Amino acid sequence: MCMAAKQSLIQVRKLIEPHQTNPENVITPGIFVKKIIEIDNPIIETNAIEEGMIYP
Amino acid sequence: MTKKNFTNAEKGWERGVIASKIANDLPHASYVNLGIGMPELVSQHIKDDREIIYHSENGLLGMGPTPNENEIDFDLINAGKKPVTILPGGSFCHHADSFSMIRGGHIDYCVLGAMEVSINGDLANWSTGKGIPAVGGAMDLVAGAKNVFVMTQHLTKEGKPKLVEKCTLPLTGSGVVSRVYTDYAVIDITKEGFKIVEINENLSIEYLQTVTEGRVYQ
Repeated sequence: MCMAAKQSLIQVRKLIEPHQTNPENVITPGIFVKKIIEIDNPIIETNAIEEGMIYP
Repeated sequence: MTKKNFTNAEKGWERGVIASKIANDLPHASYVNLGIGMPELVSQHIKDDREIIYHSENGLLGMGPTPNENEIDFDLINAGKKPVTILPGGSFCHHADSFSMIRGGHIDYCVLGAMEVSINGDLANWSTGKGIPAVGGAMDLVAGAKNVFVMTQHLTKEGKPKLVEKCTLPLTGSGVVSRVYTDYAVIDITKEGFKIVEINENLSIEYLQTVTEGRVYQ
């Protein structure tokens, strides 16, 4: 989806320093990523729904 | 190596000077694809104040300089099949993903050589109409990259203009070139003609017009 979208906003659990990735492990290269937001403890949708969360 | 010893031709900027002019026009953090040959020189002239991320269409993003002889790895090569290195933060990808980067308009700048550039930005840079060479990734690059820079000598080895009214050789792309860097001048492609951005300090506009087919203006 990042490859197709004009804007791509990526939610990550851990933002690391630049240049620290292993080239063999990169699935989506940075060229496709426009914005990043770090959320270290995100709500897991499956769990939240099990606990009774509903979308407004 | 090209030797310029034809008559009536003025001596222009050295290749390194042309390369540094291009290097200075590439902004920090841009994704750049450098064509094989003369454009490869550009990477040697990038100033320390910026990081450029080089793309090579065989599947490399974050390409580094030529390795030392004892570090050569023929599984790590550029599109010209020459050994290269990968810089920290770089990545490998599938050939198709690499062309998705190009065709999807994610490459900010590509710098290519030229046989002919026309006044409306057509580029011919892959075939003299005979022989074996094929277009390679150049056709995708000129169609997909946001800015297409051409780096070339102003005249052919025979002393003929490379900037022309209309290309005679098979095209790489139509209306794709944004700017041309030659040993005589830096020229933008505009609707009004070849617009001089910078002219070699030893040359006059009148001289530049005599070695350029099509209107040049300042």
